[in-house]
Amino acid sequence: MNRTGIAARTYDATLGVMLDLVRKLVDCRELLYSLTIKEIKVRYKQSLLGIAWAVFMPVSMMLIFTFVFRRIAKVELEPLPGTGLPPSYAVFSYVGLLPWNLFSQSLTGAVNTLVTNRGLVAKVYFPREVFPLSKIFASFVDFLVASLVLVALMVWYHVPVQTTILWVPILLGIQLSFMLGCGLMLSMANLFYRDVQYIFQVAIQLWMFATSVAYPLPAEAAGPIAGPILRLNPMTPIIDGYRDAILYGRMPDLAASWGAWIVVGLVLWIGVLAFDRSQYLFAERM
Amino acid sequence: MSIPVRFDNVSKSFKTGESATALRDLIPSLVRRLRGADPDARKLFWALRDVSFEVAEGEVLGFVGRNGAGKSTTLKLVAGILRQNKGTVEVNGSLSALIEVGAGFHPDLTGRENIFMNGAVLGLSRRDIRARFDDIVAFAELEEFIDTPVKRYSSGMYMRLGFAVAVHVDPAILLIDEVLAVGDLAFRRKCLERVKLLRAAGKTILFVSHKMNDVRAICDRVMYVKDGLIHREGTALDVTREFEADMKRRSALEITGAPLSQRTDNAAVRVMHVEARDSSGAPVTELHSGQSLIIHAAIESDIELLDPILSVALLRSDNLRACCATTRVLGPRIPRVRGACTFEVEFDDLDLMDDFYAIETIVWNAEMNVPLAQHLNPTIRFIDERPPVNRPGVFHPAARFGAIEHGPDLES
Repeated sequence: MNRTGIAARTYDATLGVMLDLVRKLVDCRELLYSLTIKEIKVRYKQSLLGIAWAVFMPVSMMLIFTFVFRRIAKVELEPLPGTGLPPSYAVFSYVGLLPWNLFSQSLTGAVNTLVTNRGLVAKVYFPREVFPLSKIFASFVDFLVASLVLVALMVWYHVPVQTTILWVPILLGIQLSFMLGCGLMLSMANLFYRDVQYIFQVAIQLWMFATSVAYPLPAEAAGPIAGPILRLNPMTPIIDGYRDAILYGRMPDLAASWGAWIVVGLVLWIGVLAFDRSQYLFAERM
Repeated sequence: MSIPVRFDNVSKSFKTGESATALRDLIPSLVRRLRGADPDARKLFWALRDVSFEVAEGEVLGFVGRNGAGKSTTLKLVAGILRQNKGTVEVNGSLSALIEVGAGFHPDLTGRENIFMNGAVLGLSRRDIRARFDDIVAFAELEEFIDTPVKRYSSGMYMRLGFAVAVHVDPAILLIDEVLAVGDLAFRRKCLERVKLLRAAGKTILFVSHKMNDVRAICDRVMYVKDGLIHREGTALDVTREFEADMKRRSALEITGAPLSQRTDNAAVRVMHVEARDSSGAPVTELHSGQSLIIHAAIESDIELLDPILSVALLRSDNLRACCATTRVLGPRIPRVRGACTFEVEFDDLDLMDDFYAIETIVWNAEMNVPLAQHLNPTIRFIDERPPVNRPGVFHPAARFGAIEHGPDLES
């Protein structure tokens, strides 16, 4: 370990910083584990239902969506191949809600994490990336628990399990990378400017409606201005991909959404690099 | 053998004033930047200036200095919490920083859960913690409460748990900042013993404390940090004594600079001048303990004072009134005072402890309940060359020990 002055430090802006991050996280995996466990324990301490809340949240959202988008505003769903009938809206929306909740819950946690852990940030050194990352991991545990409901729904609605389900881990990998990039940026930005947490609260609501969580959202239908913007939102092709893999039994068309994947790559790269470069400022800018 | 910690011309500055943590502050600063003005016109405070030092393997290096001198900044640079603006900080070996006890404790988690959390924060693996768990709990004396959420702990229990985890870390380099300074006496002693054990085990330790006895007990070498510079460096005893002398001089100055001395300036009665002299009558600022002191004072009164009382006291640097001579007790009676006059008071064989003493001169009314004029100056130092003792009093008494009479056990 050799720390030289800022001026003397050179940054390997390409792969080095990523590998460096991986190495740091492997080194402090124990801490990451402990912090994740802490997040989960703290979240459900002194609550009667405990971890059942992880199921309750997406299920209640699903019920609301089903009421709104089946009864009030009728949403047209693409028919299933073979039968020609549309899939059950409950399953359709739950497949969207699960990854979306993982996304929004992780980032909501991450945006405040450096500020609420200021005691640790200012007094003890370890890679600060573990703070947003432990929020993501803790939300991931909730996600896994809530996934059990999806299994139950699939059994109930007779959705067959198909080999295309193997695409889920790949999509999850892309989603987690995107979340890591966003989480690092948000937690860092909020440390410097506390406005970020308020802007984020509004932005995440807007973002959900700009994503195909509750309804299919073909970018072509959005017009010449909104369309290209929607196309750059990685969450839509990710959620559409889950639906393709789980519900429709077909390969997700990843190539068509190349613009969104460039966004994922940029967000991850900039997030990791910016976080790494500015983390020595965290303690004095709290 | 590599050097565990090396500082090479390290400087660290902080911006004074509030930093922008809201976007509304960012926008004006961007505007200033566009106009070509210096966006960071705030003043820089240099916490460390071109500091260089090395710590050898197995060495215990102490840092003493006033608050804000740069001690904690130094440790935070070693720990990697802060980054220097200039120079090189080199750290070789695993490192653990006990900069705050119980950092990261969560009130809703039990003692047991927090031990694992805090241990991980300090760099212990779960296996390490499991191996030390019983020791940690026994050290904290919290066996009964280990499965209670720490929010129900008393502050003492909370701290004990924090210490217990902290002193069970096992790095090659250990940074200890002031964390041993709290807790009850018995527990502090226990922590100190533990640090001595770590020292005996060959750990390199950087130790910051305001407790000079702790510094002397633990450190091989001490650096006195002052205004971001290493003011002095040397053996624990030499440096801590110099630091203590500086602190005493400072607080003595603060006492004499207090508004008290100006309080009665506008009054009709004034203490004009006070001088300390030795037994030959020469003005002095320093005396050896046991020497005689003569205070010469000039007072002035616009009105006629009937039966005034004079008193001269010595105020030690910690504000203790070490002794007081007054005409009310010692005489003589002063029937009246008007205009300018002088008086002298002789203190014979003042065997005071090594310290700084401010001379407080007061002119009282006849009942000695209203001070008419008050003066707090100058300060003199008493130098004591006898070996220092742990529990000094105010003065060395003229005492003698008799011969020891042994009991029957020693006669055989």
